[in-house]
Amino acid sequence: MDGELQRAPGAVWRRVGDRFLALAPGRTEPAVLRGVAAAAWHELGEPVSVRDLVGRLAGRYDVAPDDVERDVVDFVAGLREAGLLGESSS
Amino acid sequence: MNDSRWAGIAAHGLPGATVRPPTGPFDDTELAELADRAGRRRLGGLLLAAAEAGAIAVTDQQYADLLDRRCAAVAVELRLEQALVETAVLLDGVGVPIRVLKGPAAAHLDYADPGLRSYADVDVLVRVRDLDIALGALLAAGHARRFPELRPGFDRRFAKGVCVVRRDGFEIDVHRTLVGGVYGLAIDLFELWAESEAFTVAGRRLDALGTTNRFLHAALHATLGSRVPPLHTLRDLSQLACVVGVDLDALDHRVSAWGAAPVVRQAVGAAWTTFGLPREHPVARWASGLATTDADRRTMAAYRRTGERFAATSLAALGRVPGWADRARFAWALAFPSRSYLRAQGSDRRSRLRRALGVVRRPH
Repeated sequence: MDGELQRAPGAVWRRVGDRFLALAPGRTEPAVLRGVAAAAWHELGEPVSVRDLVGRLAGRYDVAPDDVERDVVDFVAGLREAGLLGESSS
Repeated sequence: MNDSRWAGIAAHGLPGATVRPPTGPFDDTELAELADRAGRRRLGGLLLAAAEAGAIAVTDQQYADLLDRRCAAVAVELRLEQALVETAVLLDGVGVPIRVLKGPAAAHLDYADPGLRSYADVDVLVRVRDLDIALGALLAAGHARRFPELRPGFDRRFAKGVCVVRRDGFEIDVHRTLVGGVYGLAIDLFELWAESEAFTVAGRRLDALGTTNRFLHAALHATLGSRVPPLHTLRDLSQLACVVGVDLDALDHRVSAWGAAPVVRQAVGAAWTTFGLPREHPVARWASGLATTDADRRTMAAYRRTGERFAATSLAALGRVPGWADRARFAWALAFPSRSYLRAQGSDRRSRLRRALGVVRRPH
């Protein structure tokens, strides 16, 4: 949780309309990310901490960070399970 | 839908193009058919972009349907990108550098959004000296040749390349040159590697041909790859000419060196006519001045033959194979292919010889 998050190095993705399709190395079905999840994926284009990710999404959607923190943590866990997340030591 | 409507989809967002996509509205069945056919023509990304830009009138539900269809196609394209990266890593591991050709290279280098350029396979170029090493590595990794070699040594000396099929069914075309037959033999293979342009997929740097060679490859593919130039290839050519920009001096030199003037003239003419591009564009003016002879037209016609296309283009190429020894090897391979090759083609030597004689006798 303390390290910075970023897209998994071997992941491939494409924006399609308001969605992102992201495919992890070795997987055959891409994750389809919409809405806030698509915005979060966009933010993960560079290393970012969970705290900063929460702050950026809260600012973008004009909500209190506490209101989105749980959802962001779950999202991050989902990305990790899908093999789409790497961690940066920087 | 008539051809100009398809051209309108293929030309969406292309500066100077005067053809327009069909404006609609469509009922759901019509739109589904449009989307299916656009997908088969590798125009799915441009169709969606045209709908998003309001160039094609769609209801919210129809837009959602187009989005779902495009997502299904992109899911395949992402797997192809993975296959491309895996191929690059595998070949890099045995010391074989590659140049990425066609779809993925065009998508990432020549379009504002790679999603605009749909593609359905992976093509890579390797140096002639590396072809056997590359094929050895791919076969050792569990891939299989789509067809056996015509005769031992043919691929390395004369073929356009070799198609291998991965376990997941995706095909990797490993090229040694850009096109088969006369025009392929005339390409200076050193010049293909003289310049490159890089893009990144999955965090890995991949190299494509330089702009001049990408333009020439699109022209060769448009004119010689099939009877009717594929719209996505004409768009690639126009995209390079009208958006990316090409160096006409470099093009002129290479077209002359490769003897590709008639091919490029025809491809540019087809693109400009199909998309209604302005004739005063420098690329159009330059291409219209390229010389074409009757002999060129006969040679190009061989590529458009149905049925015996390979035999026709190979026979046309025979006189251009440099050196008597290689010319003899080439002719011998065409006349007497290996039995495994013939079995894979569902043929035998006698019927092949008969067909070849038919090609020789039949006028173009």
